[in-house]
Amino acid sequence: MDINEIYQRTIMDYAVRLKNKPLLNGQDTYQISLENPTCGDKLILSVQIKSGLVHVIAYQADGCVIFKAATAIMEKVCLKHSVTEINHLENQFSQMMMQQEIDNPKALGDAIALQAIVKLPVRIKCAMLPWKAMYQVLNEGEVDGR
Amino acid sequence: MLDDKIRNDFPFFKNNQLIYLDNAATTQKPQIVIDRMADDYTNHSFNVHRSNYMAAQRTTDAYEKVRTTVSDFIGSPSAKSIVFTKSTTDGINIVANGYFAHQLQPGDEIVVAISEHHSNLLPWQRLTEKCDAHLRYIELNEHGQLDVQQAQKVINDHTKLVAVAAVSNVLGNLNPIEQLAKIAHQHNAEILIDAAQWVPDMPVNISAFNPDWLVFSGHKMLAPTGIGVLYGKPDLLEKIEPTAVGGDMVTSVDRNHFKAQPIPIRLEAGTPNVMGVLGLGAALDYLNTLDMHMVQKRCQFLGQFMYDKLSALDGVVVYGNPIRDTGIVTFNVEGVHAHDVASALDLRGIAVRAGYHCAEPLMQALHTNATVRASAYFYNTQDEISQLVKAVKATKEFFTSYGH
Ligand SMILES: Cc1ncc(COP(=O)(O)O)c(C=O)c1O
Repeated sequence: MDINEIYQRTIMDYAVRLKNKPLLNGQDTYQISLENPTCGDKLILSVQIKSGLVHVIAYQADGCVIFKAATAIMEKVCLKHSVTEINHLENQFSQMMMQQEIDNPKALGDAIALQAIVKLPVRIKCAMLPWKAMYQVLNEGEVDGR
Repeated sequence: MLDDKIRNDFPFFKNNQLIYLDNAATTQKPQIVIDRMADDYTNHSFNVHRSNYMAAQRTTDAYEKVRTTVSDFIGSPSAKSIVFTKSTTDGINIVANGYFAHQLQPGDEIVVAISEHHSNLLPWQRLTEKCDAHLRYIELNEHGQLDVQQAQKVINDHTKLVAVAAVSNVLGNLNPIEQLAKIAHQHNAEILIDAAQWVPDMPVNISAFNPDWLVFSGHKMLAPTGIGVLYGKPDLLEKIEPTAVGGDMVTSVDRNHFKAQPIPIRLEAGTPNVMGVLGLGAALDYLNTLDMHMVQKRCQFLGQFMYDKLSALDGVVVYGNPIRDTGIVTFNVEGVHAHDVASALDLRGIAVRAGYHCAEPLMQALHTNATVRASAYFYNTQDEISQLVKAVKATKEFFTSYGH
């Protein structure tokens, strides 16, 4: 397999452009910290929810290209969506990474590029981490960032 | 001198194109080990120490003969000192939970190196916490080696145990264990050697420095997984309260009590990993025919070549002392995450390991959160290492082209 099949331009571009953003605090913000213990990808994700929508997403992300690209894309895809919509997107993304059919690939936007990672199963966890973090911060209400 | 032809002993390389440089994780098996295990499975599948017909006795004898082979292999004065375990991890946990858990008093200290594998760290972390004892660290000096001078200060009369790896699975250098053993013994402390990366790579003679405990795994030296060795001084093994009790380890049992077997059998409750022990015996017999001095020469040569070539590359940081002792080399490509390097190498058919290598405190001390580790064993070739170096260079260029 050629390296360009995995590390595609879209993925590389997102990873290079990813910029950590100061974590949020104040009302209606939630925060979670997750990592992949085997490789050391680390993510602190904070979100602000306003009128039922994810209004702001901020993070400190440290890790590999696949993880960084997945984080940047997740931000772009999820921003301004409702918790229900994001839960659905997370589910679709997981399905895609498990090589299952999904109903509306378009909704995942550039996250579709990460489908390439399916060919490199050991790295799927890197792509999943930001989505897992987003799901948990919205549904398990980990730490209130105030 | 061992040369590339030694690979022919390993069927893996006939069937696979993979450049296998993850030998510190586990090794491939020579045909002779596979054949002997197949024969043992086919013709000698009997339980040991119990069934008293001749065929089973032969399996028991073979099992006990491996104990002697192991003992001789590491220069232990007596086969009584050899306990078969599951692994290095298992051996350390037996010593921690079966012995030190009953010895340690509040205020006592256990000393480990900052470079320890989690296997030789977590049991001591948990134990010192439980017993109100303290865990102290030997740090690295500026050459990336254990700092003996600092160790001299850390080890004191409160120290009950110094637990160190002879060879770090990340840095790959031989640690000054003889000096550490001396310092420990001067303070009446015991020393436990994690020899998981040591015994596979070079001749070991423990009577030269008299450690109290030593542990290693078979699977890192051509034997199957699930078999390990715990060496202990006989008087110390006597003091272990078996962490498992049950069949085989007793001489007599009544309604309320049992009388345990002598060591080492007492510490091997239940049906042991008979096939694992026989496989370990086959692996040691094979290594003995090669001569461990030759194995050491070859590993060191390949490790040095790899270290030199990788450190000559622009933008590649190589860790540890420049004079190599083993085939293990750990590095990073500047600006590229270790996992991306490993995947890029994987895509070129080269197997290396990336991550913390079960040594997270060391990663913190090296100011990195992950590294790439390539580990050669004697069956690797110089050509394979050259291909690795070429691939690392190409990987660096690929990622740099995107502004990484
Ligand atoms: C130095 C060291 N100690 C301990 C271990 C643990 O060995 P095992 O997983 O066989 O118990 C390893 C293996 O990774 C090692 O390299």
